[in-house]
Amino acid sequence: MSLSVLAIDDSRTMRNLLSAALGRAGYSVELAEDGQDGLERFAETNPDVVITDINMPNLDGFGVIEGVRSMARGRVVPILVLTTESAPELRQRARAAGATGWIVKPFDDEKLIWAIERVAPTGHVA
Amino acid sequence: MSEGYNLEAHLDSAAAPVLAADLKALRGKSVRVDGGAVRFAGTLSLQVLIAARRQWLEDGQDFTVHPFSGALGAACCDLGLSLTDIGASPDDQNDMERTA
Amino acid sequence: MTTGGSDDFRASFFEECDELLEAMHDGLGLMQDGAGDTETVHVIFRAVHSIKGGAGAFGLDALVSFAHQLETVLERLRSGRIEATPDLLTLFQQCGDYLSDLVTAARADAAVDPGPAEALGSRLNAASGPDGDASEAVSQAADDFVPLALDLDALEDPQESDADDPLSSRIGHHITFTAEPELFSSGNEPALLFRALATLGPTRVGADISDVPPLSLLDPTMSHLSWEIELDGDCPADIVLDVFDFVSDCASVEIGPLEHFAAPPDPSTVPASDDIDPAIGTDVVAPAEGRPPNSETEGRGDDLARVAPPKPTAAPPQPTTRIAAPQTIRVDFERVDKLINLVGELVIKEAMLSQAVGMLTLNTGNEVLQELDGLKQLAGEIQEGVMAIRAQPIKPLFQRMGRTIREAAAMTNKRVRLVMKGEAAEVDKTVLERLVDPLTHMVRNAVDHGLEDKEARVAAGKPAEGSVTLSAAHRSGRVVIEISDDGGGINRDKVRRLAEEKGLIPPDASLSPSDIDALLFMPGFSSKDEVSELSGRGVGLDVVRSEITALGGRMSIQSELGVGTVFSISLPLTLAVLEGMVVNVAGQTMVVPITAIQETLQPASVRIHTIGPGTKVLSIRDTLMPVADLGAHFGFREPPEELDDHVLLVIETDTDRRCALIVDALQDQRQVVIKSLETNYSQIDGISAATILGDGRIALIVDPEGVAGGVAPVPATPAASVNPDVVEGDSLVTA
Repeated sequence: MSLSVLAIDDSRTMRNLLSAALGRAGYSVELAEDGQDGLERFAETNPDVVITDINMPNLDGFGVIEGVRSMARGRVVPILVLTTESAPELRQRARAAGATGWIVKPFDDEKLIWAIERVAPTGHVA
Repeated sequence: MSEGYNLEAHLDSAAAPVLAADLKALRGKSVRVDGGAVRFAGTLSLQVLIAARRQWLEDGQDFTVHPFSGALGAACCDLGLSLTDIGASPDDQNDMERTA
Repeated sequence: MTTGGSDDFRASFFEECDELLEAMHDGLGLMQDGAGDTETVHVIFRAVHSIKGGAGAFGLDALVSFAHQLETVLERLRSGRIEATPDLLTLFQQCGDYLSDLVTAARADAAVDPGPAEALGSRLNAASGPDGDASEAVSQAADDFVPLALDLDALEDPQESDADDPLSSRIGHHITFTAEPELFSSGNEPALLFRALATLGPTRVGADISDVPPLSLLDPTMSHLSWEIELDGDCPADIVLDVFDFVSDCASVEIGPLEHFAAPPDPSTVPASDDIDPAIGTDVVAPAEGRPPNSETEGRGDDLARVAPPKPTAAPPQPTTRIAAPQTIRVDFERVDKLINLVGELVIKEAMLSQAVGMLTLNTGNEVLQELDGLKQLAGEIQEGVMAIRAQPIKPLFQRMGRTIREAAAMTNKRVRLVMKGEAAEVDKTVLERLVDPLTHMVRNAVDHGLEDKEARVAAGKPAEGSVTLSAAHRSGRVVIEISDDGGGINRDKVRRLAEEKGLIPPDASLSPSDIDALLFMPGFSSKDEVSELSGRGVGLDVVRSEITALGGRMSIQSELGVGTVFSISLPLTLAVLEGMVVNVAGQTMVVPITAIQETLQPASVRIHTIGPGTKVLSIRDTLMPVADLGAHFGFREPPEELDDHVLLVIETDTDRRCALIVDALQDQRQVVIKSLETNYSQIDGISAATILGDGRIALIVDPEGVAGGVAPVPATPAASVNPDVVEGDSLVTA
């Protein structure tokens, strides 16, 4: 059974990139277009890992983190935040909201998987 | 007479308080924990098993984890724990082959 | 130890030397002030020792040998075998200065005069006492710790340092790890981090479970475990640290070289000693489901048994890196400057975009306008952020002055102490570099001329030891540096007499005290009579002032007879942007620096006298000042006869020249990005630089000094230059 990842980003380009990279790595991918959509998809698909952008319409990434943390009480789902280069205060805010880690944009496959591997709650990534 | 307890498949940090509460309710009796279904085990949940084993030793009761899954064994290995620390026996490697 | 090493390591060694020398000078200063304690001596000793260690690695023999001598005596002081007498402290100061020289010379691959080394060396030998045995003292001291310079190298490239170290037999990292509750609540998991670590090389993980309480006492959200991990291989430390990137704020991670970790397994510390604790065999931990491809399951189990849980009391051996410590990177200045240029372009583009959007006459509240505002703010913040990269604390510069003072004091036979205030203030690196010479000159000047002789001081009821204070502070977007002394103040009668003798002022000139002080800055004022060999060096304060002016700075003097003198230098925080008034002149757009503009006037509302053909003066508040047409200055047009349609800018230059400039209209006051012209054109009188405006047009930035120089007299000439504001401030002076 492959690891399932929910990727939330309002940019279509970014969604395409994430989808392709995650697919290549053998993960099953769910996509969402904004924070609200993301929380709905989260409730439906119960993913193993969440990747979310911060600046999004409807509900931003901090809202997504808080939403996921309050929805999944019995589990600590790893949440990776997509950030741009060197924004320590952004990371701090994300961490305070309950984020697990971050992926710095621009990312390549290796960077993405390195981040996921350090948080994905399984040792059995194919 | 010993009580049986089945570990959940997903023992992440959020599962640790639940596991601790469940096991506390079993104090006073020997307990055999079935770890055969575990697919992921994190530090805090393994720590609950370590603490439980220590508690049961103090109480003079048996606490064993049997059988255990490969994922549970691997988690112990990742964290530098010995199987004995959590109340499992390395002789159970047959269990692993069965459950893996 | 190898000689040489890569340039990067060498550069980082010298950077570290700067820090170590700073720590050493700080410590020596504390001891001199009687504020030092045992720890201070330790700090100084460690600094010198680390310099020696690093210098050895790079084959800098002169540095090693002198540091060794100094260290030997420091060690004797540290162990209480000799006393910190005033003579010894003075010797240490001189040795510290010479050590700085040696570092500077080594950095530049330059030779250094070995004379002081011999002289200081024999004094050090004498100071180390009768039973001083240098080699013994030092080898003992050397065992106390590992030189920092080598540790840094070890972090960057363990293989190299390991090869240098006969003690090491294995290459790798030793990692100590403990987790805070937030690590778990944020969804992180040590097991996964350790697994990621195993992709970098073979690992052996040992957990200490001795602090785990029985279940009834367990808080299941807290980790009571701690780990010791060995990672084999030559993986760079920064990559190892990267594994722990997500948990740097909620875990303690210490990384050191592998060879230090030799804690043998101690079964007595494992609480579950009633059981035999066989580790998991290799076959046990090879689950059918598979493990990450790179993880070394082979042999892991065997090693696990050997490592076992370490002693909980075992001190982490020589932690060299704490992940929680603020981390820095080294960046080429060229890259930063390129970035600054690009950000400048960004700001210009943003202004152009704003202007283009402005043409669209969009409704207020339109989304484009809102987004544009956001962009504008962002661009401003990026600009500030980039500028901050160039900012550096002023402390090293001040410390350098400490040495200048000591030398000047020795030459003039005065006792002087340096007081530093606000040395943490940050200034643009280029500004700092260009401040070295002016500040050196002024500090010498303060010791030489500012402070009286010991006898005169005592006679005046002052302490025999004079003080020179260097202070720095940020004030309204500028940094103000003050050099003050507690000397006799400016002898204005003498200054005036000298100026008259040199023909700089007419004998009957009526001058305010501040006018007289300003004479010190005049070219040609300095003379043999006034400037001694020490502070003069053929350079007058006028040169200092023009250097400061070239940096966009201003200088002023305050002096009180018998109390002392304060020189103030006010500098811009950056050389990249300027607050300017955008004006129209003869169809051209130009920028006048705001700092120069005193006021703007409508010609119709003031009195303007025509003195001769084309010569006008402005009468304002009992002062006459020349009126000059900015357009005519640059040859754009003939000076206008009728001024009513124009605007007057009253400017005062850094040399206190004042004049009124005629411009056609004021456009806007704004920050402009300075684009140097000198790279592409030669220097043009009256123009300091250029900028690009929102509409894409280039505007020249006016150099007030250059423009006023042509029309305004220097302030020492009476009538045109009396500035009532300045005089008021000096009313305390009794001449």
